[in-house]
Amino acid sequence: MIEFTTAREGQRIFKWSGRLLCSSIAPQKEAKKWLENHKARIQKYQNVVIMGLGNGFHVLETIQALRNRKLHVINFCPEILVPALSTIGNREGQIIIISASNIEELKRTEKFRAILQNPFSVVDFPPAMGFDINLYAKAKELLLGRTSESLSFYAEARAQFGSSFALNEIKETRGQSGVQLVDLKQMRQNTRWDQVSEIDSCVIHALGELTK
Amino acid sequence: MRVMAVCLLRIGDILMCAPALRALKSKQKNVELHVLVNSEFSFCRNLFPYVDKFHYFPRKDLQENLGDPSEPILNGFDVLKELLHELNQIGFDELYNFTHNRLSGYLCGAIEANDKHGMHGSNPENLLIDGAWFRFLNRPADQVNLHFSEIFLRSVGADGIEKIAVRENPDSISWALQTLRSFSNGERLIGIQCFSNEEKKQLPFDYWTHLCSHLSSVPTTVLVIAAPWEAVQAQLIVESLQAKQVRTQLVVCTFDQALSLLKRLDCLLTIDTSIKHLASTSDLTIFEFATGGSRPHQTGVFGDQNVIFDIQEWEKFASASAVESVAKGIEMFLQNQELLFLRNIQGAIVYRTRVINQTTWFLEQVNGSRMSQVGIQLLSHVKQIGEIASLDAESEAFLPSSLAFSIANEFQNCLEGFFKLDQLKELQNESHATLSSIKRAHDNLVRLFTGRIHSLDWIEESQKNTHFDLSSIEREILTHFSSKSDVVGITELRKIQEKLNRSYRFESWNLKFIRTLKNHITEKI
Repeated sequence: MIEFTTAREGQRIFKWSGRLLCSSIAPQKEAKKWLENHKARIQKYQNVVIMGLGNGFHVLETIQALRNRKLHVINFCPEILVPALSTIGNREGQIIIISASNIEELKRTEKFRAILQNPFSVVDFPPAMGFDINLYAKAKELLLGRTSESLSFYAEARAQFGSSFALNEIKETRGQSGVQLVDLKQMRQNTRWDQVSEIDSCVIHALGELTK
Repeated sequence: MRVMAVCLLRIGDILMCAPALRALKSKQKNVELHVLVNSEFSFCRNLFPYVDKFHYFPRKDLQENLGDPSEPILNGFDVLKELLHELNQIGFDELYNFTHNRLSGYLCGAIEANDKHGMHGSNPENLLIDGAWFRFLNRPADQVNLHFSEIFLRSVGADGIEKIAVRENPDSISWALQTLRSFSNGERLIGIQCFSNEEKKQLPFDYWTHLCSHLSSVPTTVLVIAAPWEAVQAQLIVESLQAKQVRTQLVVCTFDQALSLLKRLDCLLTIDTSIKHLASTSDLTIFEFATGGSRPHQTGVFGDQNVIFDIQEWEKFASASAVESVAKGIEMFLQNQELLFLRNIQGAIVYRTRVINQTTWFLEQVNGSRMSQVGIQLLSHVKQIGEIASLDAESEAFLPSSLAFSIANEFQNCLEGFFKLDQLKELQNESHATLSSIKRAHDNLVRLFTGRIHSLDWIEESQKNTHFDLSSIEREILTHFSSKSDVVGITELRKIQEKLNRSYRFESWNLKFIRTLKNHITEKI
């Protein structure tokens, strides 16, 4: 349930199920400070994934400061989409909001799978994640591909778009117990080299040299 | 024609590639030269006017990404693949890999080009090294007695040596002039560069204080040169020098600015860093203090009339009396290239860098008892020469002049003989070189030296500076004259005759030789 109120500095904000999703005092200042803290990571790549939509002030701040970036915003609370968009405005092509109610739905979302085709950075906006932090953590795990399970998803999603280093090139890693962090070394061990193109083989081996 | 050169080591290594890059650019008309360097050295785009386009390899970002579990696992893969895709859109005709490590080998495996030179491949099983001179780099470091600049230059098919050449930035020139004007009144300017990324290459800072406090034969200002991140430590050195009444100035500068500053100094005292290569593009005299795994024969100052202290025993080298000798040696060398004090220095092998006729760079050892060291070096040279001769046969490259000179030099000093095949045969028994390759090497040496008959300057110069026993070289010249003089023009012979007439002033010339040669020439004329 959405409930509108006014921040101490005058901005119109909303709560969801009684919870604040941004600062009730100075949401714009909060957004500026957040961006300042994460700017280095956000600037690294063309595509940026923001975990949490909230009231949208941080999304607006980011796109205004870094106009040539493409933002993908993950939101597990579809009800807030409309009021948040009234803050952000219409920025089709620059901002893609990916809403889902749970992880399985998110995994099926084409927009979510499309993120994995290019380099991107992931940043959290904790005020907007508070009401179900585990869901966001799980979504982030999928995006990072650093566990056996998420790497399988990662590879499967890349295969769908015809990107290199996709599922058929990585051996089955599921079934291993617990959450296991995957690094490049393990990934190389699990690669089906006969399926990998020559250029991809060069790239993977070059990266392997960088980890020595 | 589009050519890509891959230089993925540090800035000093990129500078050592400079002669080869320039040779690549001028190899043919319309060469479009592209160079791939680590992105942290993007500033070098201002230094090399003969490079058409620099591309940047984001090494640090990739390493950070790979080690950071909060980064998507395939980001590095995608970033690198995108870079390679962009490079492959250009369409290269030739690719040269000057880096010689596996990382660059795999990258060169992915960059498309009609002709590839150096290491390239897509996996550990098919990593190849194309080109005899690039394969030469594959041998253990102590068996590569050639400067990397020379090896790189030869690897692109050029002969002889070329100075490292870079371009000054106009803003940096203004900065340097203004900086020097602010404290200099025409006194001698000595720069010191005492910082390295590799701590083992640094000398204890108080060494610089002791050394510089003895450099006072003429009014001097010592400039402590530092990058911005070295400024705090540099200031401490400045203060300790000032406490010893040495006129000292701290100069914090960028790499571009360092170039313009160095071009306006009289002398640089430096450890083994990129700054020494930058300084070698100028005419100032460089004194390099090599320690901590530095390899002067491969990476020493690539220029003429500089001095390298290859420190072997620090305690001896840093003793109070030795510091005084080093300082006197520097003073005397700066005044008239006098080697007297440098000859007596202990704890280090002291080399003078030499460039002869733009075809030869070598290190001439000026101190210590040479006999034992020379004997050891000789054996390794002979092994090397055999192998190189085999490489030459394959690559059709000529025997490297600096190596040939170095061998000849050692023979002169040690065996008092010259190119005697019998001796080579004996040594061959102890080496792995085949007799035929040694014979080829021997022939190459003779060709090299007799090929210099037109330039008696070289003989004079060598004899004057290295106290050669000329008897054997004289024999070679005579042999050459008796067999080849028909092809030497009258004008050349007259020039030589004139020079010989003047050469009596060099006492150690063998008068009998000169007489014989003169008679020979007169007869021919």
